[in-house]
Amino acid sequence: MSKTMVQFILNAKPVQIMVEPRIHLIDCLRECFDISSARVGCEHGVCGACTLRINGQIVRGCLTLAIQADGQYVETLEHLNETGEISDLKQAFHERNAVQCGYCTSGMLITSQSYLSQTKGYDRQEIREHIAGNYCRCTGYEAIVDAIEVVAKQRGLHPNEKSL
Amino acid sequence: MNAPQELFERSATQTTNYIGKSVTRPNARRLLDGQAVYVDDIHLPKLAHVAFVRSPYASALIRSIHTEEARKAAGVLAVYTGEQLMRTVKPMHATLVHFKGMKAAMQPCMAVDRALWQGEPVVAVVAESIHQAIDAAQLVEVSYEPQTAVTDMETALDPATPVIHPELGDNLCFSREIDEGEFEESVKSSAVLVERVFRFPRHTGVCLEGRSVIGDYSRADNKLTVYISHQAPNMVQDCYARLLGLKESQVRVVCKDIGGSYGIKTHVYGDELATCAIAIDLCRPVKFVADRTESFLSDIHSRDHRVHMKMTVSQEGEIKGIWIDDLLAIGPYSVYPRTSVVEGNQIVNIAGQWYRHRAYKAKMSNVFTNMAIYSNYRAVGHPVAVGATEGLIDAVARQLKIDPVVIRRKNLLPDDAFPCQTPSGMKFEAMSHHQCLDRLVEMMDLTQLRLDQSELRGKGIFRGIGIASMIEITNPSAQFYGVGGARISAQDGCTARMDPAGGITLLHGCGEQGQGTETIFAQIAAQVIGVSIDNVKVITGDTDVTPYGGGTWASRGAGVGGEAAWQACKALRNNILELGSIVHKLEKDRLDIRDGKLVDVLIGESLSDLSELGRVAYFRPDLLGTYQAELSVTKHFVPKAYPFTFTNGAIACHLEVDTDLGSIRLLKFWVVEDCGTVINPQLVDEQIRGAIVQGIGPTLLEQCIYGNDGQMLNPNLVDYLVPMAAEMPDMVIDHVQTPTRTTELGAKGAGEAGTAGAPAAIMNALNDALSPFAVELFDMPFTPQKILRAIGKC
Amino acid sequence: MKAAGFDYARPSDVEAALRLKESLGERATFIAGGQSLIPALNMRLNQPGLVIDISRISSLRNVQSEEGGLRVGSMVTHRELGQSDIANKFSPIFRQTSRLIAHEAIRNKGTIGGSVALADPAAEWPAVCVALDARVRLVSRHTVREVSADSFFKGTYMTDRQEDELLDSIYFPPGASRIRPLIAEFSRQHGGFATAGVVLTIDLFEGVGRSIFFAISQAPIVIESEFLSDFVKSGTGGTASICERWIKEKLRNFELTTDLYHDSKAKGHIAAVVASRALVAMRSTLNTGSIDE
Repeated sequence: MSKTMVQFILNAKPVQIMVEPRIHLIDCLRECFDISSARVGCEHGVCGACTLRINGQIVRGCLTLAIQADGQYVETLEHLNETGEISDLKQAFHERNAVQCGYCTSGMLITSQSYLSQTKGYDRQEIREHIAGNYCRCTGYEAIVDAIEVVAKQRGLHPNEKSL
Repeated sequence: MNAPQELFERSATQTTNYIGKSVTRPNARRLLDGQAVYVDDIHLPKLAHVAFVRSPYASALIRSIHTEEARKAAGVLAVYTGEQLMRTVKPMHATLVHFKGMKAAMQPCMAVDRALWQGEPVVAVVAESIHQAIDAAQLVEVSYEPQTAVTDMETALDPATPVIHPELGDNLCFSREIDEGEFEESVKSSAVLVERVFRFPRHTGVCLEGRSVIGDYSRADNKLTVYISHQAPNMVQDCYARLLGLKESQVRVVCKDIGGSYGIKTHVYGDELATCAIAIDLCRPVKFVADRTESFLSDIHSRDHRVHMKMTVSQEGEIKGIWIDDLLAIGPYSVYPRTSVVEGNQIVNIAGQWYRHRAYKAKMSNVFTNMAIYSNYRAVGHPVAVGATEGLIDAVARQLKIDPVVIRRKNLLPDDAFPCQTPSGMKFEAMSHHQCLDRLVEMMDLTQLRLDQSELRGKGIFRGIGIASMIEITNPSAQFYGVGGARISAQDGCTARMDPAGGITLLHGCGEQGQGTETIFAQIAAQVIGVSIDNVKVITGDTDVTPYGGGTWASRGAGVGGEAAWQACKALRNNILELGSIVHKLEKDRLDIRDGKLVDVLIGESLSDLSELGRVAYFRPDLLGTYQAELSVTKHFVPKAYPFTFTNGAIACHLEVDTDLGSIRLLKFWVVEDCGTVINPQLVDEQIRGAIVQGIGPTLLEQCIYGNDGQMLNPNLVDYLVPMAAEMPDMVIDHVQTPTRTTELGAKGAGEAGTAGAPAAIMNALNDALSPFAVELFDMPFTPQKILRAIGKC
Repeated sequence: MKAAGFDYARPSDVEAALRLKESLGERATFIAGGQSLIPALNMRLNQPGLVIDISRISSLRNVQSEEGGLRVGSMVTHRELGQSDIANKFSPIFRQTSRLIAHEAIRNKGTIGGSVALADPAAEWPAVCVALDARVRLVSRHTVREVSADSFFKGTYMTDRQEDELLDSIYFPPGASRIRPLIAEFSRQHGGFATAGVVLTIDLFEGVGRSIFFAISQAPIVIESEFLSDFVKSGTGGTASICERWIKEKLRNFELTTDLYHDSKAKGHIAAVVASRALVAMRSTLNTGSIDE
C-alpha cells in the first residue's frame, strides 16, 4: 500500500517517482509527470485510448501498473512527436481529417505507427485489423485508414498481393 | 454550384475562395500533438475530487446512510447525502409546456429517500485524490430496501405494475396523437394494407471522454466557474445559476476540448450539478470525471422503441395512408432541461412524411421505467422514424413485388413539391429526394450489384442491397425548445473583430467537439472579409467572453452558427471599408478587401494593408476627424422562416450474410446528402461517415441489456459492443446542394443524417439478402442468433 | 474505477515468489501479464493484499525443445510464442493461435501461463493445450507436479491449480506434426472474445480425430472420433453439412453455456459450423498438399 520508488526512462529522460503500487501507468504519467497525452478511456484495456510504447512495443497503459514500468523505456506521444518519428503520420491525419475530438488520437497514432514500422506490406483490411483495438466514436475509421494507407505508400511499403 | 447569389458574387471577387473548400482544421494540430485540454487536463490549485456512491438497485427505498467511517478516511474533505444537497440545490423538473399533458417528477441532484435507477448517485465523497475518494466511498454504508422495478414498456401502464411516482398517477410521461385525413377510410378504400412491428434497442453514446466537470467557486468574487465537457455552455450557465441559487452573472462556463459528445453532453446531470454545489460549499475547486462503468449507468440512454407501423397502398404501390404507434421506455425522470419526450415527439412529427400520402394517424406513448435516465442522442428520433418508415416501404415493395427504387420513385415527394406542409404539420422548405435517389442509384451501379447478387445466390452466397430515403431536422428555431418555456437558446451570436495588426478574431457562442465548426467559421470570415484564413482566430466556449449562443445540437453549427458568423463578418467588412474610405478619402463603393489588403477596385490598385488601417483606427484616431471606427461587430441570428430546416438524403448499404454463422459483413455504403451549401466538403463528409458508423452500432451490435430487476447486464466495453475498425466499411459520399433560402449562407446541418439513415439501409439490405429464405427481421440489433433463428438454422 | 490499495513484490525467482505466496495465502495473488487481472483490480472485483509480479522471472520465460517436445515457460507472452521459431517449428498452431488473441497491445503483455491459469472459457490456449495433450507443470514450495491439460481445466475460472501453486510451464509432447492441429473460431469482432471455437487434431496414422471446443462451455469439450479423421481423409466425399450435423448431434451430449447474445443452441450451431468449415479446409490442404495457415 505504501509508496515505492520507481525508476524508468520516460521519453528518453531518466525519471524516478514514489508511487503506490495500485496506481496504473496512465494515472502516474498524468499526475506525476504532467503527460496529458496519456489518456484513460475505460480502464479495462478495451478502448485503446491509453496505448503507449514500452521497450518499443505498444501496451495498454491502463493495464500496466506504474511500478511495473521500473527499469523500462517508456514513450508517450510527446516523444514520438519530438523525434519526428511520426511527423508524416501526423501530417496525413491532419490532411485527411482523421482526428475529430482528438481523444482516441494518442493511442491511435501510436498504434498506427506500430503497424507501419512492423509491416512488410499493407492493405486496407490489414490496417483495419491492426487498429481494431482502438475505439473511435467520431470518425467511423475510414479517414484513419486512408491516412495510414497514404503514409504506407510514402514510406515505400508495397500493397499486399491479395489487395491488388 | 447552387450557392446563394451573394455568396457566389463574393466568390467571384476573391483570389482565394474558402467556402466550398476542404480546408484542414487549425485546431486539430494540438490534438495531434497530444496537447488537447480536456477537463481532466485542467490543473487548479487545491483541486479536490469527488466520487459517488451509486444505487446498485433499479428501485429501492433508502433506509439509512452511514458516512462516519467514510468521513474519517485518509484525505477525505467532506461527504454529502442527497438530503444535505437539497438545502442548496433546487430539484430539476423537466417539462415543457408545448408538450401538452406531459408529466414528470421533481428530480433531486442525488437520491433522497429512494433510488429510482441503478447508477443514481446517492452519496458524494470528496477527497484530496480520486483514489482516496473511492476508497472512502467503499466505507459508506447505505441500507437499501429493494422494490419491484419497472422494466417492461409493454406492461408499464398495467394496473398491476408499480407506479414509480404515485403523485403522477401512472407511469405515463407523455402521449401524443395526430389524426389527419381519415386513416380508417384509407383502409377501406385501399387495395392493400401492410403492417410491421419494429424494435429498436436501448443504447447509449459511449463518448470516449467520460462526462467531466470542475466546479470552482471563489467566495471573494462570488463567482462559480464551471469547466465542463459539454455542448451548450450558455445552457449550463443558465441552469446551474437557477438550480444553485446564483445569479446568471455569477456563473461562468468554460468548454475547452471535448472528447466526444453526440448529444450525451447536452443535458444537466445530477452528479455534475452536485459537484458544483459541493465546490460552492467547500470554496475549493472540485472535479468529477465519470469512469466507464458510471458512463454506462448514468449517461443518458436512448432509442428504446417498439414501433408498430402500417401503410395503406394501392395495388400499384401508391401510399394512401400511414399509421404509426410508437411505444418507448424512458427512465424514471424526465431529463433536464430538454425533457425525455423530444425523441418520441419527433417520431410522430416526421414518420413517413417524406412520402406522398393523404391520411396520417400517429400515436406515441412515452412511459417511465426504472432503467437508466434517457433523452436526446444524435439524430434524435430520426433513426427510429426513418428505420420504421423505410423498413415498412420495403416490406410493401416485397409484398407487391415492386422494385424498392421504383416504389420510392412513385411515392417520394417530388422535388418541385416544395414548400409544403405535411399531414403531420411539418413545414418542408425544399428537398431533393428524387435527385438524391437518382444519383445514389447511379453512384452504386445498382444494376451491376443486382446482377452480382443473382449470380452469387446461385452459389449460396447471400448479398443484400438496401436503400433508404431520409430526412433530418437541422437549424432549429425557437419552436424547438423556447416556446415550451426552456431557456435553451435557438439563436447564436458572433463577434467579428479586426485587431490592430489586421488579424481577424471571431468570438462565437457555438463551439465544437471535433466537428470542425471553428474551422468553417474561419472559412466564412476569410472569404467574407477577404483575408487569408491563417489570419483568422476563432474563440469559443467561454460564457464570460463569447456572445450568448445555443451551442451544438440538432446540427445547427453550420446553418445557424455559420449564418451568425456570416452576418457579423459582412458587417465588419462594411465597417473596415468605411474606415478605409475615410482614410483614403475615396467612396466606399469602389473599395474591396482582397488577400488582406484594401483595394481600389476601379483602378485596380492596392491601397494599404489592413494592418495600416488597424494602426490608424486604434492608435491614430486623431487622423479620422469626427469618424469613430467600429472594428468589432456582433451579430446574432436565429432561424425564423421555418421552425426547422429539414435536410434530405438517400443512403444505400451493400452487405453479405453468412447464413451458416448468422454474421453480417458490411461491404459498402453510399450516401447522397443534401445539406444545402457545403462550406467544407471534407468536414461534412467526415461527419456523415462518423454518423453512419454510429447508426451501424445499434443495428448490429449495441444494446443496453437489462435484467428483469432493472440492472444493466453489460455496463462495460467487453459486453457492450461498439463498432471497431475491422468490421466497418468504406463509405462513398456525394452531395446535392439545395441551399436554404432562409439564410444568406444557405447551409443546412449535416452531422446527424448518417445516423438516421444507416439502420434502415442495413435492415433493408439484410431482408433483401434473406429474401430467398422468405424471412424478414425487424428486431435490432441483428445478432447472429436472431438471423440463424429466423432462417431456421438453430 | 481505481484499484484498491495493495502491496507489490517482484521476486527474481520462483522460490522467492512461492515463499511470498505461502506467507499470505489467499490474500496474495500472482500477476502474470496483467491483462485480465488489472481490469479486475481496477474494477475492484479483486482486492488482494499483495500482488506478486512473476512476469519477469527469467526461468519462466523460455521456449525450448525438450525430449522431442516443447516446453513453454508460463510467462512467455502471446506475441513471443507466436513469433518463436522453436515453437512454430514444433507446430504452426502457435502462430495461428497467437494471431487470434485480442490485439497487439494485449499480446505484448498477456502470457500463455496467465491465460491457462485463469481458464476463461473463451480463451484459446486451454483448448490448444488439451488438443496437444499438453502437461501443465505446477510448483509449490515443496512439490512439483504435472497435470494433463484435459484434467487441468475444470470449469469457468476453475483449474486444478492449488492455492499455493504457481504455474511454471507447459509441456507439449512430441507428435504435434503427426496430429496436424488447426484452430478456428468465430467472433463478432476482430480480436473480440470468441462466440465459439475449435482446435482440431487429426491423426491420420491412428485414424482418429479430435475436436476440442472452447467458448461454448465452461471447460473445453473434447469429441474424439474416427468420423473426423475419415471426413478429412475422404477426398471429395461427405459434405460440410453432414459434418455440421454430426457435430451438432454430438454437442447435444454436453452442457453448453449461454452468453448475453447467444443461447446454448445458437452456440452449438455456430461451433458446429466453425468446426465443419475447419475440417473442410483441413481436407482440402491434405488433398492439395499445401499448408494452409
